[in-house]
Amino acid sequence: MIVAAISFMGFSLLFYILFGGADYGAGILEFFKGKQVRKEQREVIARAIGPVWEVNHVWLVLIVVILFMGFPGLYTLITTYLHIPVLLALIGIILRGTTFAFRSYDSIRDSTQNLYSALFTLSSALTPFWLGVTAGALVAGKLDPGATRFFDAYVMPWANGFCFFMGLFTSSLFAFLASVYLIGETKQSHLKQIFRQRARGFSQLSFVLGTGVLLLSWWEAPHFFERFINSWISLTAFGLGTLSLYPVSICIREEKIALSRFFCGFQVFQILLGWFAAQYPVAVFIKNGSYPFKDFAAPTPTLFQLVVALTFGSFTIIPAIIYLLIIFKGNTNRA
Amino acid sequence: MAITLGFHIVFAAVGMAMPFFMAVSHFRYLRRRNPVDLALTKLWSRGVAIFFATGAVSGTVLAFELGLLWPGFMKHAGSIIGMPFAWEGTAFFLEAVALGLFLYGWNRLPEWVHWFSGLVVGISGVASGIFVISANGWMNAPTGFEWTGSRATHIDPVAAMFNEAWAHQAIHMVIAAFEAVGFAVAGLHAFLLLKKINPALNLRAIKIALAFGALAAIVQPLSGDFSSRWVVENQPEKFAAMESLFHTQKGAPLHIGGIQIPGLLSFLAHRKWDAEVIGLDRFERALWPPVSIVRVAFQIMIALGVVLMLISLLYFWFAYRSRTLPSWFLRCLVVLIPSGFVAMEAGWIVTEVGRQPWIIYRVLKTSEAVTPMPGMVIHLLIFCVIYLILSIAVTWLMRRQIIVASQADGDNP
Repeated sequence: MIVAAISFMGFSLLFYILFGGADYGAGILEFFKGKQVRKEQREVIARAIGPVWEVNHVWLVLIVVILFMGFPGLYTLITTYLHIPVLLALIGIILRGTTFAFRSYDSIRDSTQNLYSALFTLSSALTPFWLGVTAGALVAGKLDPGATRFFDAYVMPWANGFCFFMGLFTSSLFAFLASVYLIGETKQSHLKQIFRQRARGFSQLSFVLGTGVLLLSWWEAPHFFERFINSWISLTAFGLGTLSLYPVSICIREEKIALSRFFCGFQVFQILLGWFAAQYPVAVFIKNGSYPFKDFAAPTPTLFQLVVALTFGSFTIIPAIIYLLIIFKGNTNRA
Repeated sequence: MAITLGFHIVFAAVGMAMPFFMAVSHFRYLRRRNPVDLALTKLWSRGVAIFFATGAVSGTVLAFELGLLWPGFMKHAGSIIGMPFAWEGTAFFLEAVALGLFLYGWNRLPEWVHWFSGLVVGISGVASGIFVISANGWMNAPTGFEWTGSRATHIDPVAAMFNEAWAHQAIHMVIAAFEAVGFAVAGLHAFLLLKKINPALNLRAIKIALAFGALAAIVQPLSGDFSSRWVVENQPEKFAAMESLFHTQKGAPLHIGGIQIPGLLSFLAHRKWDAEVIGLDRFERALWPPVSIVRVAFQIMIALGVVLMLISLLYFWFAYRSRTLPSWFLRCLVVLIPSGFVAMEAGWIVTEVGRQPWIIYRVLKTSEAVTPMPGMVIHLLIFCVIYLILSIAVTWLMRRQIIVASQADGDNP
């Protein structure tokens, strides 16, 4: 049951990164634009993510629900000791969601659009950063449940180079996903060209930052690094993830939209797999030790009910999402 | 937390009721092809979109805030009462998908599929509301586990979900949502109608909104009675605080304004004029809820509920007699715009503050559940400011939508 619950969480995380991540990334990309294309680009983004963005972000809600129902101890540990980065991410989520909605559904188009856009872009970049920092803190092993001083308990767990690199890596990865995704969302060749450049730039940046995260873990989180290099799954995943950079760049050049999206998804999957394989069965590394998932797990009846609800949910939701995607994404090139 | 919830409850209510209004006008359009219905559907769908997005965001924040503020509560409660949240998540997911289909589905989906997707938004909105209420019901009527003094054992999430308080709270809340939203929407359109902006559209809007709102307002007292009798039986100190009954007595009178009606309280509570009603004197002073807050909130809720009920009866009378509404009645509707929501918030205060000092009734105290992290004042301040700004922004935006949409449609009917 624990494994089933964790798998659901893992897949939700994967989908959140793939869909929600591309969505954040689109916001980040808005930042990097010359004035004249900015407006066109904004329209592409609004059209591309408008129908699906709410769905994309429900994945996060799902992760949180699985956490607090299935692993309440882990959930409270995160919300207690990582209060600050979680709070900052939340503020970002609020800003982003509301400004995007206001921007899309406000029927008056005037200067407030610029305000919405500025806040939207800013929060698009900061939210994934803080989410990355939070994830990093679970690995960094600086969490100290015995700490008594404010600084040690609530700041130290995440205020370090490793976590910050994780944050940067997350933002960069999301921007990369978005660029690849958006190439297929426009017909104008100069916009395609821009997204192609961004995709190339962010894939290199993500690679550098990702490797940086791993190297930093050698120094800052040796317990994790050791597990990583001793796990053949992690190493293979790292290798495959790196190797797939090559087909991605070819697909981008040749404009094989579906294939390039597939390879991106594959890459993200490898990153998560590499991470989980090194981490599992540990849920969180703390100072001088670790807590495995089973320490946090809810009693079996609860986990069972959780899995039932999630399975039922999958049967109703997945067809609905597929229908949504077919309706809005199936005919992008015709629309 | 209370602020986020108080904020979220408004959005959740709109998300529950509004899609149904929309679906009705959409249905009328598909049946009769009257452009007024189409314009109204589109106008309302913008409202739904803005409220849903903001509601989704405040919902996400809530999911985290439970843990940020009440780790002590979630540690115990998560595995017991997580189940309705899992179902709520499912319903919410469906709602998001359906809303995406509805908002962007014009001319893309077959007409009736499109209509149905709008309806699904409403159904899953109501469903997720009902699920969440289950969790709150459980805080009032904790079941499905055994408490050893420090932790819960023998957890049965199904029993926890189907707790005793769920039914009456869910019914009361769903009706309240339709009542509050119905009257708020009707009031806004009454305002536009008084200004002689697009009368056909606004009159239609009032009729649809009040068909729901007025019916809800008339049924609500019955559900309120059902709820209060549950509270009498199961949380006597809450009931005593609601009525500020300090002494246990037989044939307890009901105070309305300055008037006393002997025995009525006993009758309402136990259906017997001379039944004994338990007062606060039966409980330790330390376990009293803040009596004056609960009392005042309760009275506000009752007073507004009665006013809305009377107005609703009046409305049906008008609707029966003639097709137009007198302008003084429209003015009343304008004045009553916030009333349903105020009543709803007051009711929320009654149930939440009335349960204090407990967060899980007679199991865990609120003070034991709060986060150990210092500096919470800053956290609360940040959220107060954010929600204040958001409320202002949403109000301002809605105003813009309504004015613009009404004017645009008024020019070419």
